[in-house]
Amino acid sequence: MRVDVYLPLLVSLLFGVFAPRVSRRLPPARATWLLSIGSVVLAASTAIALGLLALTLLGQVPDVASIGHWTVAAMRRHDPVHRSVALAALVAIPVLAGLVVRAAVRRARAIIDAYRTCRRLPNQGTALVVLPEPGISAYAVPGRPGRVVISHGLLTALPAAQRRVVLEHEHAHLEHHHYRHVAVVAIAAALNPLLARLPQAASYATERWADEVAARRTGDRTITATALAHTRLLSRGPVAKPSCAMAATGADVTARVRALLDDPPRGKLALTLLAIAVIGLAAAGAIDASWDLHQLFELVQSASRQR
Amino acid sequence: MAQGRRPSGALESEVLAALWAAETPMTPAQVQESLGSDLAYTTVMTILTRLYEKGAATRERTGRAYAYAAVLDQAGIAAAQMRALLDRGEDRATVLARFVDGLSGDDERALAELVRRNVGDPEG
Repeated sequence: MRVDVYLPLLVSLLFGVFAPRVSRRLPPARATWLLSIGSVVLAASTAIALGLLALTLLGQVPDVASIGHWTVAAMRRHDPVHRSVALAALVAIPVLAGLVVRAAVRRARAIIDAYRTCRRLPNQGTALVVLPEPGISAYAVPGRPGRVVISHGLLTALPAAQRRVVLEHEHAHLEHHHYRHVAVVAIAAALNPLLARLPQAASYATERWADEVAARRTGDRTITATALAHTRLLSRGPVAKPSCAMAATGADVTARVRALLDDPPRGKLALTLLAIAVIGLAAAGAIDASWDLHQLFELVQSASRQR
Repeated sequence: MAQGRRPSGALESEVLAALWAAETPMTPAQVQESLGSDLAYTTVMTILTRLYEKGAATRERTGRAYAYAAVLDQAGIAAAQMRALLDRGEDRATVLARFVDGLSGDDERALAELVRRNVGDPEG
């Protein structure tokens, strides 16, 4: 309890700092899964740890003590957690709960909205939606079926081989349900602010994943890289976006292009196992701390009976 | 790519996109040529027929073959619906996977150099 309970927080801190960098060195599909599973495990174990810390303080409330059949004095004597730490956890819980609920509701609404839009589109049965406008845009919209949207401007600006890259890339997003990974990481990060940098890492990993699928299907990494660079150059200038979003991405297309011009990403088994071990450490810490708290309660119960 | 293309959603999108990119109706042979890939003629034929049956393409007889064109009249409706989705706020954009986001501080000169090396002038 003295150490274990802090492991989820410590691991979250490390994961939050290093996972974005490490994930760029892993094959993108694996990086995506590690980020989404890792962020869920870390968010859950952090929530458990905070709950345990808070319980040590709640156990000293007379009403709680009488329900648990121990005395406040016995609980206070055996409490391994400093009061201020437990109090901080107690305060953090409702705040973080509020944040995670808000994030989850927002994501769910956005996804439902996308599904609804896909269902109402006139051209049922075909995935491609062409926007009859000269601008440069291409994106995938999740739904049943999901849609690949491309503007007429981009469609005609690219040679056929590059157009194919864009379409394969967007279809890969739909096929592998990338929006789910991105949403899960965003919700986990809302619960655990130490993971704040992971949503951006996850969306980069999913873009890389789709790039690699497109490269594999077209059989040409250079054309895939070129399509990406070309589209980025075409979309410069008039693309007006809120400036608040500006800081969120940094040189991403350049990095993706470089990765495509490089060899296909290789296994990196040791790095993957290390990441899994680190994530497992947080989960183990939360489980062990839960057991420790259970034993603590039993201890104070018997200590209370002896008096 | 040595092996034949597997049928997929992307393949159908590619054929439909080719119709959209063309200014006049195209025969299956013309579509096959415009795609410039390893698609078999029969595959292109099959996809075009399917697009016609789904109402995504129209066709008219030209000589011995049909010439296909994309159905344009519902595109405005679809575009309006997509715009409505995006206009409902920043949150909506988070579920969309954009090909490039147009936000980042990319190295434009390096990108332009790459495009030039591989396909000639990016603007051309």
